[in-house]
Amino acid sequence: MDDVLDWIGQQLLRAEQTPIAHAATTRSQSRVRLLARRHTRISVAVAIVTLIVAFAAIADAAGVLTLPAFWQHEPNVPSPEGTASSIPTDLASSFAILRQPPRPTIDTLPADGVAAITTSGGIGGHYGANPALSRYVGAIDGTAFWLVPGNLGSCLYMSNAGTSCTSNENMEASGTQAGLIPDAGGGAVTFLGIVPDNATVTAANTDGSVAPALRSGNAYVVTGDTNLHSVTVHEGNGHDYTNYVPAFRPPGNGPSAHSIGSTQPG
Amino acid sequence: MASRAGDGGFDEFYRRHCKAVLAFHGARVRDPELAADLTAETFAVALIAARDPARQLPDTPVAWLFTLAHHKFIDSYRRGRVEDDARRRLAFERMEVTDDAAERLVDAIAATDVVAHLSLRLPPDQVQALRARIIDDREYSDIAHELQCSEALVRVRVSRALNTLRTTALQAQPEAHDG
Repeated sequence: MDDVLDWIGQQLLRAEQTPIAHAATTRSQSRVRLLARRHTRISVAVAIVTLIVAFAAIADAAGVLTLPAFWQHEPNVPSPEGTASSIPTDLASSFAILRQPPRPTIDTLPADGVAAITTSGGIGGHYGANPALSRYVGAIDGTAFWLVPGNLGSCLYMSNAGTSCTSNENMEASGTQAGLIPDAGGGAVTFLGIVPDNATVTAANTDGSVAPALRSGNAYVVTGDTNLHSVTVHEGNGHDYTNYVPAFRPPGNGPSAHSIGSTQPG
Repeated sequence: MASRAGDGGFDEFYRRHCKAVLAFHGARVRDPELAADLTAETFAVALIAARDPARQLPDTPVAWLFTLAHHKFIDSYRRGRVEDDARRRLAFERMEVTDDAAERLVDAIAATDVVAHLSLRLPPDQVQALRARIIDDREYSDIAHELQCSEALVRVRVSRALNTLRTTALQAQPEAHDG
């Protein structure tokens, strides 16, 4: 054989596609619960940015899917269903903008957004997101938002603030959210995101008072509030999804990237 | 209904990590053919686990994979031969390595940085601990001295990197319990 690694790969592929020799009993195939992970990629345009909200909680039973385990566990593995050719019906039912005919003049994803979504081994490919299906959501404080549907998950592209992707189950329930955390130099945490039509967003300060959440269509931004405590997405099913301002600040003066967990009570 | 393996997901997983696993073994056995043998057995074990619906698969498959590789190396060292149980179970054909193929294996081993590969997938503290314990085969006390932290913390970091191993049915290997 000329290439041993290729040969091993072929042996594995053949074995993967045939029954294991000694398996004498047949067990029912376990249904794999889709981990409702949120993946956020932030391209840093300001000097203080870092990242929050990478992974969320487990999807409810309604979100059970049967997918290859290695697709779930490897965020760089492309969607086994390939890139979406059309907007999934369930997703469209949660976002009115996805039910509208495309408006090329504003719906077309900017080139850097296309690059971010389609980069090889990227999270956009993991969810099968297709920039050709993108819809412009709105603009807040100079940041424009596009929703990029995929067949397993979808991405939110935010100009100057990167992309945030999550499963379609999550997107339909509570959308997706990214956070920009200033480093030790100070400043306020910014949360950016998108919510489905039947969800709302509120923000709270450390003293319990209401903090302003700016909206443009389904997009929202909470920014400039140094007393911010948390941002909560109120899902249409009555569940709340809350992200808290982290107690830490990343060290250093330059751009950095961190991901921290979030909670989804209920 | 899609299965846990069988949809090409494992093939992608193999392509992504095969050179790193080969390099991991190659650095230890100093023989490209043996390294390839160990690599094949490592992935065969992983595929059997992936196909078993009763097994909880890891959240961090790359750490799990390298732990499998570590165990395969230790088993082979102890027994004086490379095990082939998993490959036989999967009905692998016999592997024959030509001189040219062996040279390419040597090149692939030399060109692959296992630590850099892990660094793309794991947090730095876990990579550091995993590297010292699994790749460099060092004692916890030695690692703790270098990192200027407690031995317990080193164990925690290694444990975090390997934690999912304990939840798999592949934890019969004794090394899985000493971290």
